[in-house]
Amino acid sequence: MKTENMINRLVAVPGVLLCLLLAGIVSSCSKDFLEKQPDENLDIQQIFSERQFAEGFLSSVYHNLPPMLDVSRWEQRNPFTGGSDEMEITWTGAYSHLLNSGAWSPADYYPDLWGFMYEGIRKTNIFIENVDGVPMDEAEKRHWKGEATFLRAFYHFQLVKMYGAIPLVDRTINLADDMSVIRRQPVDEVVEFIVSECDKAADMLNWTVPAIQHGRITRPAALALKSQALLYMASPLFNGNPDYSGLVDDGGRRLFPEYDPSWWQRAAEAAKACIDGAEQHGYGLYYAADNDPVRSYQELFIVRNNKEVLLARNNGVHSHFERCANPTGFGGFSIYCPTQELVDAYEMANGEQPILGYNADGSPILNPASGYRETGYVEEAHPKGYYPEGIHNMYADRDPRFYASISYNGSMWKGRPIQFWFTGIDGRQRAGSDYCITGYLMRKMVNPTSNIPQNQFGLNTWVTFRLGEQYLNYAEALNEAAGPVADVYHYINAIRARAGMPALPTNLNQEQMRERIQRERRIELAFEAHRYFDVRRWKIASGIDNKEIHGMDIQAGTHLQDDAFYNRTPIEKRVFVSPKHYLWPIQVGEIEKNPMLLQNPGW
Amino acid sequence: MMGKLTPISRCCFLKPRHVICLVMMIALPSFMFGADNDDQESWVLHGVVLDETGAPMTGVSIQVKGTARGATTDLEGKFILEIRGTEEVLRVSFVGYNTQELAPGERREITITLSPNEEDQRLNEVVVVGFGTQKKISVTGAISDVPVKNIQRISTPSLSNALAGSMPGIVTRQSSGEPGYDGAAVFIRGFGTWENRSPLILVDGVERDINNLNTQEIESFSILKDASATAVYGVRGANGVVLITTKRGSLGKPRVIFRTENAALTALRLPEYINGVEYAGLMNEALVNEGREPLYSQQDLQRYADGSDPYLYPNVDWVNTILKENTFQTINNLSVTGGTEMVKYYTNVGYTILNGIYKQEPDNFWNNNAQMKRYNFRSNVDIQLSKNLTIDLGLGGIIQRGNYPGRSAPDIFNSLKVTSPINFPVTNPDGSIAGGQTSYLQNNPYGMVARSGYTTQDRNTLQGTFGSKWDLSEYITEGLSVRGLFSYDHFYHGWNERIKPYAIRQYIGQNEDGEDMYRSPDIREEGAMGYSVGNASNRAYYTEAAVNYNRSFGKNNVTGMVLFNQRDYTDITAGTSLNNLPYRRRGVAARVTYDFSSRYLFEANMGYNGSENFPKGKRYGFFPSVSAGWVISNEPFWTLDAVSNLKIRGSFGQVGNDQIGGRRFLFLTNIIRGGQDYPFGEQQTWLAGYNEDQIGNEDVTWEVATKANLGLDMELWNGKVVLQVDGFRENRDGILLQRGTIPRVAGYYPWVIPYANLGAARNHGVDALLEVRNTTPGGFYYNVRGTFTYAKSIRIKDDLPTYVYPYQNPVGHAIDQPFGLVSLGLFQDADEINSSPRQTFMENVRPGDIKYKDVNGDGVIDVFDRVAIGYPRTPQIIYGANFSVAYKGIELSAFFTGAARASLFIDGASMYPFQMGLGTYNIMRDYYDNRWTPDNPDATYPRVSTMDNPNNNRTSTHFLRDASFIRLKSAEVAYNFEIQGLKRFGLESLRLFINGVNLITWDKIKIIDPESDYGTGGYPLQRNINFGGQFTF
Repeated sequence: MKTENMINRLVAVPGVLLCLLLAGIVSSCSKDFLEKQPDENLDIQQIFSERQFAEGFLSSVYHNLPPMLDVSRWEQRNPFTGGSDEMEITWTGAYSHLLNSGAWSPADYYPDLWGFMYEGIRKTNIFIENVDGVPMDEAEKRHWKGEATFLRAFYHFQLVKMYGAIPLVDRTINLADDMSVIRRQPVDEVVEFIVSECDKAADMLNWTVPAIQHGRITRPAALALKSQALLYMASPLFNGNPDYSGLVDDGGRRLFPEYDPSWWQRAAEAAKACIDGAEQHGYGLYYAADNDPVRSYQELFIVRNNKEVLLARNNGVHSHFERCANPTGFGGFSIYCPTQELVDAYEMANGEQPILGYNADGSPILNPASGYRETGYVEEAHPKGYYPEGIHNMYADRDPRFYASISYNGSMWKGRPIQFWFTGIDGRQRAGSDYCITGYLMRKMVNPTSNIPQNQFGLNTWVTFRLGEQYLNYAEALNEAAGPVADVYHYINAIRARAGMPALPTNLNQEQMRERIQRERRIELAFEAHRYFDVRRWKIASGIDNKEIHGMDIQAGTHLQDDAFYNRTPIEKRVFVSPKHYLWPIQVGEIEKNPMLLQNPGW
Repeated sequence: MMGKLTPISRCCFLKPRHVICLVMMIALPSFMFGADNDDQESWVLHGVVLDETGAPMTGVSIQVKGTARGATTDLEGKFILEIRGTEEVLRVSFVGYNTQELAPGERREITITLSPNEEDQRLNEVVVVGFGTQKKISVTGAISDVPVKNIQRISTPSLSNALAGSMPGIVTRQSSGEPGYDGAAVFIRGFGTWENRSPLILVDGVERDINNLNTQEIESFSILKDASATAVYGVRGANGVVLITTKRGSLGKPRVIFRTENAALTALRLPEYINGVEYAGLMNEALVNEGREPLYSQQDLQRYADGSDPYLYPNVDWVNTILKENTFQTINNLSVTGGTEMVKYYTNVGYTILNGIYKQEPDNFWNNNAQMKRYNFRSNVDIQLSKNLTIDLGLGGIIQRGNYPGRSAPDIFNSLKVTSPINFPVTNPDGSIAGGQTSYLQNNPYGMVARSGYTTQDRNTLQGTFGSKWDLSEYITEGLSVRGLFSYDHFYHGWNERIKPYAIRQYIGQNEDGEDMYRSPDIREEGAMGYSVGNASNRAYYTEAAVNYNRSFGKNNVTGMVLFNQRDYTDITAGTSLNNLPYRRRGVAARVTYDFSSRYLFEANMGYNGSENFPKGKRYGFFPSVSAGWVISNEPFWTLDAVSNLKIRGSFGQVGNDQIGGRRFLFLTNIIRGGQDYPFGEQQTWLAGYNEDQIGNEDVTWEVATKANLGLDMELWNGKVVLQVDGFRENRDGILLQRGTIPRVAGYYPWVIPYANLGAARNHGVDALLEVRNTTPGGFYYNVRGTFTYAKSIRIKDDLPTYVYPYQNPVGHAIDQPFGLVSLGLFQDADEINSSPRQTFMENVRPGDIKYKDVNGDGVIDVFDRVAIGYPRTPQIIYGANFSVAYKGIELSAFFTGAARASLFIDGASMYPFQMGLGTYNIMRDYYDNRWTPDNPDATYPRVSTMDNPNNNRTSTHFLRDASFIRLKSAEVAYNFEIQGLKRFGLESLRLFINGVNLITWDKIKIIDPESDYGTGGYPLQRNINFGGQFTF
């Protein structure tokens, strides 16, 4: 018995040690066992205590510049090109299909620019409210502040274009704030805010930045935004639109004001200020080295940050855009398909319209004076090589911008003619779900040097503002404010001259000039996401976006000169309900969170 | 199999080591000194004691009645004893067995067989509870367990797949059969919250993965359901707790068991798609429906039908091209168990292979089929250092290797949904993979399976547990002991990707010279097989120290426990400094039980835990619970002998939940580096963006579940019938959720909006167990065990905006309640369309489109007509029934499980023809056979459209199906051989069995498995037919 006790005791010693060990593990753990906090945790104060951090924050502010090259993807921010009469996107997943079929609703909001822009606005507010404390070079700080000030105004304006009156958020909204008091501000007040912010920003910004800074906001961008905002405000959609006179909020404020002609005058002045200022500082219309109109116009969108560009969004390498725009035979998806209607809108090289209108059955009314023919094939190539021989006569002798903007059957692309006919290399026959649906592809902005099979792509930019647009803005505003005075002719003709087109006939009245300007914008600004908004602000969308769109007969044709292909074929009957579709609907979720946020008429 | 003890109860009477020690101490000296002082004639009796199955029993006490002489059986069940006369009587006793008295007479050798005392066993049966064990009779909380042999009958590498219906209170759903990813989602009593719903799963007391355990290693499996059972886990207990223990050694000579089982697996319900002729015809039909010309001529259709031009007019059955009918699974285990008084051990090595169902391309030098290979090593050793001190060491090693094609199973099964039979042939005339020029669909399923290379994944787990228990009865006070536990777990996951960019070409026919032509350039040129590796790794420390007290004072039985624990988990390879910080938790748990005369039971439990997720001062929470039981059958007035046990019990208490789907330090605001960025400069150099990543909430704290449980336990005729019924109610408050009322105008990223304790939910239901078991005098054994679980969770409070129509508010509905439109059938003609409310999803609604109900009566059908439809995906009712019979050596069993009150949407592109454009996506046969055409007006499904039909293709009752089902989950025939001849080779017993899993399913869905996720199915579940043998040496 004794020995056993001994053993017990002997063993008890390690037992005690064991338990002590365990207890030791326990007690050795300091009291702040749960105290461990991330040592690299940054908060807003820290961000604005160092230049480098603040610069990173500003980078994330820029991130919200809408990536407008995303014309078709789910995460797209630009449903406007496919949603206008410029283009049909073959891929049925693009949101533009919902716009075109009228099937969109306040409950779906895939492009979600509303949320995306307000995220950007929150970041600009944080930046503007805190940047003063950053220890850094004051001149640089002032410029940053100017950039953020511009971006806040720009983000607001993207929503003004879609929604008209919107909540104006000029300070950070904290989580503790009462968000039920947020209201849509009358559109004129929002525009006044944008205008004054552009003035402020312009003061802080330089005219140009060095190449290593390209992409940063400069002063002409602020001036361009001001001009664009005033032009929209002056236009019939916002300026005294009777359809919206009843849109009055719970405080009795009209969200869309009475007509005021002075907006046109202010818009003209702002555009002129932008043009003059920019031109004094080295900006100007872009011309290719040989002044060739096709090359000039094409390079304008390929040569990054050329002298005409007032603001471009850098997109890095955007291979998806290149793929979507390239024919299937080049490894592309062939899904950015311009409509026959856009093709028809290009004038002949002699300045005449080839097509004056359409009959009830959709057939075109040809303009005999234009020389345009819808039969036969070209026997000789264009002397400057704009088109090869053998193409259909429809595509001969057109505005040079046509050749820089549109790929058509037989047009040369990367060394060979494109074959859009049914059995052609780029044709429908074997193309699967992605195919060229209209017989045309977008050429403008597409880089002719990219090589899809070898995965070689260049850097892409999206030209947000360019001087050419300011010329057109100025001409339009001035024509409305003062009639077709000399400056109106001067600036429109400057645009036409660069394109190799004859000057406008003199002695146009205001109305004729308005129509000319509208046609010029359609051509000059094609695919630049203006058309969707232009037809709305002019209040002519119900006559344009409610029609059938057409293309060539892609289900036919066995060779280039097969007439079967060149048949105008209906693609889609588009739906536009007035006034509903003039403005976007506020998302259901936003109204549910704040029932005092008024919905737009018709939704 | 007569009355075989559940493994839980078995461990009880093998465990009380003090009994054995006691016996030893008394027996040894008396044997040694007993022989001296007697001069009668005496002889030595050699004996062996066997249990009812014929296995030798160790530690059995044999006493010569009326003398001090006695002995204890050794590891082989043998004993020797001096006998002094033929009148002497032996008294043979062992805990849990009927004591036997017998007179050996003149025999020199004797074999004694003890029969189990069911009454005694029942009284001593224990269950695993939080941080310990309790006698089943004294349990007052809601705890369920399952005989492990029931689980082991389901031959699966993932334990979670064997649980449905096996015990009351457990809810599971298995949606995939992919090797290595086939685990089921497990919930206890449904769920009480909508953020993190997973129960806490503990293996040998440590948080561990349930699915890489080997079912043969398991000793017990139980779930803790109410607050009484889970309060000790405090802030982690609210979602219920699963406790799994692995096997340990027992006294006895080494017992070697080899078990092998080999199964043929068959995919259940592979998707059935239409063939090429039907597909082309359907494209024509879509065009004609919309007034357009058909695309394919009769001649074209004929070519698809006769296969005369298989390259230009292909007609491919992709499912059968890439998937095979059968595959193979094997699970093998070799275990050795045994022990002496000093050391008891259990060791097991397991080897599992589960093969996938992809067809192997013979030309590949690599294996392109999916495969999961796993080695499980486990060793549990208990060492009795002295009669007061034991230490135990558990080591588990799980080495799992997965092999997969270069593309993932979701990608491959998606490609089956995407690729139509006429898109392109399998391969081109030159043998290259065929493809089409499509932006999103360059997915030849055969290319993805057979030519895309392969991926291997290694998942290695080390589980080390070291514990010790020191009985302080001798030193401080009777019944006091201390216990410590330390564990270290390490997990390593490495993957090795050899992705082959195979050539994809598009054949476009022959030129005039009869040469094959291909589209130029190639859709994809062949590339070299890539090589990339990656890894992830984590480790966890866990420490636990406890003081236990367990003592009886007459009729008063008292136990107490105070326990400290802490856990430190680190994601070693985390991508951010924030996630690399250890995840830490620390707490104290305590329990007091009091039992008067096994009649009145009281218990109080509490957990006091801290979680790093919450701000200082709000970190620690106190979670108490109380429970009580009344064993009516132990009352003196109870005279109804048939009811051998009747207990009523109830509990009430609180538990917490600090988990919110991976987000950490909820109180901190953080700006991310490298967030949203922008490229600057002529060369567009990306400048890292800094932006808000998380906004802290200084007031954030844990969710609190207040749970009440009322239970009844009843046993009739000494356990021949067992009934357990529990009703429960849980109120979950302070559910951590992201505020839903912040408008987008405020500009917050959706992911930075802070979490706050704003939600509330109620969960209630019943669960029950009924078991009938008996052995007839003729040796016929039968057992029926049924379980039932019903749990319904309702969202009581949420941070949601004001709904324009209150019926769209999810508050007041079940958690996960689906919402959608109510279908009234299909429009038959233009008149019906014109006389119905306008449907706004599409401009031109046509006959054959779905007609919806105008719920709010405003004359238009829009999103405001969406209402609650159907049931949530996770079933609210799960039940199971196990039937077993045994006679002589034959055993038969069948296990049925079922679910009810669950819904499934069979939606997605394969049911929405041409949603992504005419000629895209495969189409399910069920749609094709039952679609609307003018000739088939009573169809189930709407007409075919040429592109997305925004009217038909949306969530509605039209595609909602009742997901109730009953499944013959498993069935087994087994035979236990008693062949004396084999014993010469050391083979004690042999059991051969054949069983099957997922044998028959009765349901209303038919086209996909009723447990699938929404849509048209992914990697299918498997039916398996399994042959095996268990050899005991």
